Amino acid sequence: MSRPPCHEERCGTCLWLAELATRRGGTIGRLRKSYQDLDAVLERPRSEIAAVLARSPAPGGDTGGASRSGTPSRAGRAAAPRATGGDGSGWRTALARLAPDMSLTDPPGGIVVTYVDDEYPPGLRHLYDPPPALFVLGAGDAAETGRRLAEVLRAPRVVVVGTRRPSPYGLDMAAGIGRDLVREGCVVISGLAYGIDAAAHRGALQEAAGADPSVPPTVAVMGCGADVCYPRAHGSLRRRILQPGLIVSEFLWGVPVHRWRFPSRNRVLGALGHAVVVVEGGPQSGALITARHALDVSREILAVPGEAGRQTSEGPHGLLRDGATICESALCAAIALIGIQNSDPGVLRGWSADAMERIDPALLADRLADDWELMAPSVDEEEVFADGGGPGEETEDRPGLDRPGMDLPVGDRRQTDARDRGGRPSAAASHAEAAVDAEQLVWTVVDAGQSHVDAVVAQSGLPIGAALAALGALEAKGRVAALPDGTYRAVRGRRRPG
Amino acid sequence: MSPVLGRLASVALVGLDAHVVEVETHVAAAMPAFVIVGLPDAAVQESRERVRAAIMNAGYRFPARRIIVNLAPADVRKSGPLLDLPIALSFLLATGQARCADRRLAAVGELGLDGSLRPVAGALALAEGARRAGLRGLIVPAANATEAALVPGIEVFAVRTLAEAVTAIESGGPAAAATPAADVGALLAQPPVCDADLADVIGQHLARRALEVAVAGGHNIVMVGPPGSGKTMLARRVSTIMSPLAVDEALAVTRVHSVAGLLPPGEPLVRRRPFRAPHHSISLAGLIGGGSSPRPGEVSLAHMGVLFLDELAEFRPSALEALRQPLEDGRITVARALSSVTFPAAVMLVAAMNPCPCGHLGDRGTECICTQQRLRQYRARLSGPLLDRIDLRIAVGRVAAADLRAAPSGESSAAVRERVCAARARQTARLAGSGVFANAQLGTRQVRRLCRLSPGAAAALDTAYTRLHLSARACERVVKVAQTVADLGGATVIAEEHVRESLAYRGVGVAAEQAGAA
Repeated sequence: MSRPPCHEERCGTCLWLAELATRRGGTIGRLRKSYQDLDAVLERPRSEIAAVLARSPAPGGDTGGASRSGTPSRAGRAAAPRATGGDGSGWRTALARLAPDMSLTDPPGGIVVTYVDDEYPPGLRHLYDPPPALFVLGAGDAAETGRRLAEVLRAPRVVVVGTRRPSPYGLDMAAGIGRDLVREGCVVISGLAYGIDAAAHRGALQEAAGADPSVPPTVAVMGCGADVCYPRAHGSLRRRILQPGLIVSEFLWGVPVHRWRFPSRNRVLGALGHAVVVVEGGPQSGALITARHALDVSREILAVPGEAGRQTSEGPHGLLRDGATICESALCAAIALIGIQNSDPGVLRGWSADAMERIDPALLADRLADDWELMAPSVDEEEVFADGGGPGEETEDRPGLDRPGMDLPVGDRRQTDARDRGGRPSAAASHAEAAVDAEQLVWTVVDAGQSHVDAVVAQSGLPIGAALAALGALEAKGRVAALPDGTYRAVRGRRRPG
Repeated sequence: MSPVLGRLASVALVGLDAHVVEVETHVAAAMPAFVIVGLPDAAVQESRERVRAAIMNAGYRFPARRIIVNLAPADVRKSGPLLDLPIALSFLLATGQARCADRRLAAVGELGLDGSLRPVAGALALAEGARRAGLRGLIVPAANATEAALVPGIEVFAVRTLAEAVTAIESGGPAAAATPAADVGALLAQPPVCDADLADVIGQHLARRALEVAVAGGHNIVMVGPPGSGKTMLARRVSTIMSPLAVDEALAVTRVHSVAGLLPPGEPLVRRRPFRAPHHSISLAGLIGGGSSPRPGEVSLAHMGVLFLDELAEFRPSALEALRQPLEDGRITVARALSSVTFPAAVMLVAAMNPCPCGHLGDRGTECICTQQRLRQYRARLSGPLLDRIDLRIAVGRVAAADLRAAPSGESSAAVRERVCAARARQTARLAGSGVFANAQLGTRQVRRLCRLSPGAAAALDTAYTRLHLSARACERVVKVAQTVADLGGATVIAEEHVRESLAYRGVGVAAEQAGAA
């Protein structure tokens, strides 16, 4: 036994352990079998740590039980690790070195935050096997990246994850939630994958464009080095994220992707946010892994309901069945954050006070049920942060087309229909009127469910030309969206056109 | 056996054009041989054996002399068996077994070993070539006579055997013996019965309308839909709603089909617009034409009709790229070392493809199993320049089972054709003097000059431009198609609803037309 290591030494140990953890999954988990927590590990001399790790079973065991079973049981994660992608020798070299790899330099705008630094995200300390270091990349210089990281840790953070093969509805929801969360002052965290992840990032960036750039709107958590572009096709999205936001990873700079790194990444993803919103995902999806990791560290779980019967709805529906909060728009996530403000009072309490002023108190009282009395605000102003979805809010700037067909009883619709087909008093006026009537007819069909043009024609009785014109008009207003298979659907998940 | 030199005119094909070939035969008292010179190809070299056998079997003498056949001009490659007959006749003239009464007679035909004559390909083009060269008459195999007689201004003599051909040249081709000239107009007036009709298609309102618009404006169209949604059925009926062939169009189509040897026996004239559906494994030469002596490809065989490419994304990228010139110019030039040939290729392209490699993207019945990457690769197979030439892109869905049973049948082809013809007439009037005859052919400047948008339409277009992330090129396509929709509706100015309808045909998801915004 020697004297306890100083701060610099412990920093170095963290970097060294980060390299080991990058080269072989489950490194930290295994140390925790011998030590109480990472702090205890860092109190020990490196030679002792290396001896513990060297004693561990030979490569070939289980890396991330989490990755395959989808259930990150502690036993699974603590189980025998496995060499990763031919990195076994690298791991042994690093283990024998007993020091961090000094040849590794940070890229421009990149910083490394270790477990013992004050800048280390406190949320990650809740993990069973917290990453020993976090590699953070931004578009500016290192100081700017540090500033952004601090901003992110001072803001409410919501993780939005989901399938890589989403439905158009899922994309709408992810983008809409991402956008509205940024509008509410939250940071949107996701994984830069295809599909839902990308949509959430894009929604956040869209809202951030032109807004206050001091708070990063979105953060991507990678399953490879933070400076590695993956997937390749997301190069431009990655650059857009870096501009105002951050890309973080628990893995060393320049490390390529590997299968086991994604479930590992998901645990960081889940712990980094205050709440996790699962948009779409199958029963075995990475989104669910993220949600379960988040649940392990007591984060709020929200799920966006999908279409029943669709495979990608099974994940969120299962979560809902298990008691997750339903998420119909960013408002739901905001209310959930207000509900859990005591879990991270330093960040959430001040924000909640602001947010509550914008939400209908009755709605808050309803959603937050028991907790409500404790934090009822003194203000009761009109609703600003309105619930999304209804096209009613979209019509402020179009007086002529208020709520076409939305609230129209069936009887009225028949009437307008008859008027349309019957005699027309004045040519020009009735022409415009007929167009609006056709729009209403078409809207009722599409609002009832996604419909192919042929179905719209069959159900509305309009001639094909008129039906297409009406669909075009609705599409121009953003009320309906055309899909690649020739169907049109009502656009949901947005509060106002834009 | 006094004359030693025989000479007879014939015609041979280069691409779709026929030119005169002088067939000269010299008989010399030297070591026996039979030589053909003057750039003959393999088929012409083989005619030596056919000619020798036919002459002997027809009862003529074939002396053991040195026989030289020269095909002039000697710098143009001669191909095909159609020079059999003139070589044999020229030989008979050289050996004094026949006499030529009129030097302005030409002959073509393939010989059988027994001296009978077989039909040749391209009789129409050959007759036209002979007339252009100022020849008075053309001796053709009987099976080609009605086709050759479609050409006015040249007398066509039908012969069945070598002996009959000898009689024809010895008599100098009396007018009475000529095949009467055919009346193309009358032939076209009774087109063959077509069993496909648009009325057979159930539901598919969008696709029917889109095809009507496409035909009316001469636009190319691509249909995207899962397997079994009726794309092929629709495509087969496109030619039924096109205006009937005019006389010169019918002759142009016949010329190509005849040269390709595709005319059915007893059908001298193509009377219906062609529909060609090559398989996606087709080679570049098969699609656009080629070969050492170039033959027309599928795109030329579909001239004045429909070229249907099913599984568009499965075609070789090189073949699809080669389609760009014909789609732009209405003709294709095939250049070879010895010749450069231009074939007509004014086609309407109708293409069909699955929405994704597995075919089930967006299909609510079956889950799509394609990864994003595969989808991206699949779509990348269609190049931007090719897609730019396809104005309408629509999605075809499966027809619901209930509709299959109960839905009333749609309009008949005849009714749609009437509207199409009216729209075409309006276009012709509006575009008179602009050098084009269909909206699809309008260039950027012409679109600006000739397509008049109402204020409402312009506003709708502007909204679409920003809101739907349309490119400038896509906008131009929308205007062109809107113009056709207006023509179909009898409007003089493009109105808002025309633009709106046109936008529905812009094709979501077919190409990376829209920016990445989710």
